Amino acid sequence: MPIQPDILDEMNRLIDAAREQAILLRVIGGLAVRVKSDDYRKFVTREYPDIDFVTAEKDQRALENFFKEMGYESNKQFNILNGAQRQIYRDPSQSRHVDIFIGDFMMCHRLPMNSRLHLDPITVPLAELLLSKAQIVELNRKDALDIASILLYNETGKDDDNKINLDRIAQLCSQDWGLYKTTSINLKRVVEIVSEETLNLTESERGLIKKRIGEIQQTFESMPKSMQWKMRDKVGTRVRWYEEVEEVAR
Amino acid sequence: MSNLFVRKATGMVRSWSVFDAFVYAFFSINLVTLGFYIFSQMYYFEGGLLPSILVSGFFLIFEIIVYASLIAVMPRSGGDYVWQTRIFGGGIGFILAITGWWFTLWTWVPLYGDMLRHIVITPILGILGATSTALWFGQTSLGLFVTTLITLAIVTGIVVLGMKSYARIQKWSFYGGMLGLAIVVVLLFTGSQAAFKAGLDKNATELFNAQPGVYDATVTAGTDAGAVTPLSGGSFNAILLTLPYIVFFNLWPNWGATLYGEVRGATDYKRNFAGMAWALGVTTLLGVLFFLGVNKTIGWDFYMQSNAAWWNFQWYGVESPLPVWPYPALFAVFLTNSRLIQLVVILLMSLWWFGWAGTVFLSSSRVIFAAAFDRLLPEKAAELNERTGTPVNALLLMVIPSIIISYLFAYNTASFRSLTLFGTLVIAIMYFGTAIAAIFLPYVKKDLFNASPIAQMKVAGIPLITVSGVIFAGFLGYLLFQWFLDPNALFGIGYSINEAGLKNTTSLILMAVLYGVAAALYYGFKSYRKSKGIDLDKVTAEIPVE
Repeated sequence: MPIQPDILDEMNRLIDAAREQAILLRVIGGLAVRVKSDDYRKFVTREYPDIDFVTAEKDQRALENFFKEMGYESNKQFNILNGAQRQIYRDPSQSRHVDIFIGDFMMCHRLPMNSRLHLDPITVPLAELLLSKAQIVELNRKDALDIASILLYNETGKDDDNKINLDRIAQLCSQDWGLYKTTSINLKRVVEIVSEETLNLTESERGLIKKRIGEIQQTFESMPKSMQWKMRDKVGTRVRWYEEVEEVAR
Repeated sequence: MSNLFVRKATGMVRSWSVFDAFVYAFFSINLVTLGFYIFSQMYYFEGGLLPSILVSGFFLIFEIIVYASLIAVMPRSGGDYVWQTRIFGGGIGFILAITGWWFTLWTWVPLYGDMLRHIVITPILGILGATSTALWFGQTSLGLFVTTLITLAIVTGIVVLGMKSYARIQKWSFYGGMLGLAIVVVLLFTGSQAAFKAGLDKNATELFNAQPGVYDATVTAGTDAGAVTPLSGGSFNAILLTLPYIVFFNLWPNWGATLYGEVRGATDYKRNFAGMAWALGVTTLLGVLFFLGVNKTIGWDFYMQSNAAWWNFQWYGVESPLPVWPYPALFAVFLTNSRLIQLVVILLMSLWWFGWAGTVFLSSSRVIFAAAFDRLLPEKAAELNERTGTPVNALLLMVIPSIIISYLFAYNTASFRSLTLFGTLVIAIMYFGTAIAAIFLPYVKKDLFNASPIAQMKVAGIPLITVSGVIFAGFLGYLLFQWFLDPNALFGIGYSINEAGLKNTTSLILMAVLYGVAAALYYGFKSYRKSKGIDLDKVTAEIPVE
């Protein structure tokens, strides 16, 4: 099957083909939010210029051949210099890019995913999907609405079965004060955003999002905290707590 | 929601932090490997080594300004190659950068090997009681050649691991190496010359089969060999004359310049400057501390005499009473008789070599990639091997010629051992090209410069990068004059106009061959690409993507 013009069809084509070759390819980013949102148009109608994936470290070397077979061109320069952590392929017919994170999702904060990619057949697990948006220090409106969408359409719980796994969020945030801090800041921003009257949300939907944010905040309160975490908390935001993310000229 | 941001596309976190870049710069002007090695060869200068590292450090600040500025304007993998080709056009940039960053590194490999045997292999084997094996490695040509092959294997392995793993290796080497050096400095500052003399006589005899009375014999041999270099003092001219030798050690705080496409926040001039300047500052300070420690306990005169005796043996075959290279850390551990402490300290000090060794190929690999991306080399040069995921072809282009050069060096074929300063000279020529490029950048690439964070940095209305470029180019011009014409017969790497000086035809022929090959590659590929409809002038007119 050739490259599909519809980005969602193309995403599914790539995931299916990868599955046939035993490559764990899971979508992340805006497209994954769309997959996990019953009515993605509720927040905003948006274009998806790129497809972002996460793959397991073991599959890193298989990617070049796989995407070549799928009709993509490798961004050779980028992949040679960064290929162990990140790879980029270009779809020449649609002028789209495929961005692939290898093993870890590494942006403002690191989200290890290597051992978690099998939990959902299409996307990364919901907890990681939520955190992948909530860890963005320079959060934009699209990202904030993506977080709201995940929270509206997916319940919180103690496992990964179509739930935002609060235990996993606690595990990651109790190990990384910086991730906790950025996530906390951004959840407050989301509360502000969903309160805006211009958004196409009912009161019960607004309430549901805020309730789930409250549950995550409650998780932060109750999660076990190491001495190192507490000491970092005392230092606070006087010391930079995140990695800087730079634009990549593709 | 004013606290929200606009972001164009999925960004990325580059592999290296500013701290990683600092450690790379710190190891690139490596006090223990490059420093100890070249100080030991400088026994016949009249300028003091202490003022020499301070004066050279002053000039190198301008080098750092030039490179920090260029990185901020064009933070691209390939460094000098990219800047020169984009400012001058393809020809000069390719020839200077390919010769400086690729071909010349072949001549550095045997030097890295020589340092491995003197700093790591021989001392450790000696302490472990394997005296004859230690001396075989430390004294014989085959020992040197084998060590060079070991060096190549280690370096290839380190580079293959990739930037993240490399950063980890150099970080732990940095911490361990600093701990080792701290112990050595404490030993040097708490010991006495009498204790050192007794320790040397005892340990050198037990570990390396030196004859009893090795201290006194070394004083005599070193004096006869012409050891005169003072710790401090010497006329200003005498100090200036040490600079073309001492820069073998500290001309390289910018060695990571080719890697800055992979360093976070490289468009920030202040960070680039700070990373390199801290490396230079800390290293210079450690150098001063080391010199003072040597002076206190080893005795400066003895240190220089032992150096003179050793190199008189290596270069002229006059037997040295001390059968191993006078490694200051080994001297320091002779202050204790505990073999365990000696071993631990030497192992920690070995990390200065392991944290630094990858520099011989890592920076070069990015220049080969950049030239291949420009199609000035075959695309295969930058391809990753499908099975191993490593740039095998680029590594082979560095490793195979290095083996040949190392063999010639080990067996001193065609006087290849006289080429210690060769690599420094050819890279300085490339730096000279970059300094000229920096001078003209604000005028040749006005839009790029004006849009850059360094546009506002001026001295008396002249861009700081231009002013610094002029000073750095002047400094390099002085070094090149001394190396090429060698009027005082001190360096032996050019065609000395002094009757007593060396006319080093090996150096000059090798230089001509390397530049000739680079020119042939450039014009050959340009012509080939033209036949395929690709105009390389247009390629090098564009700033490469990240």
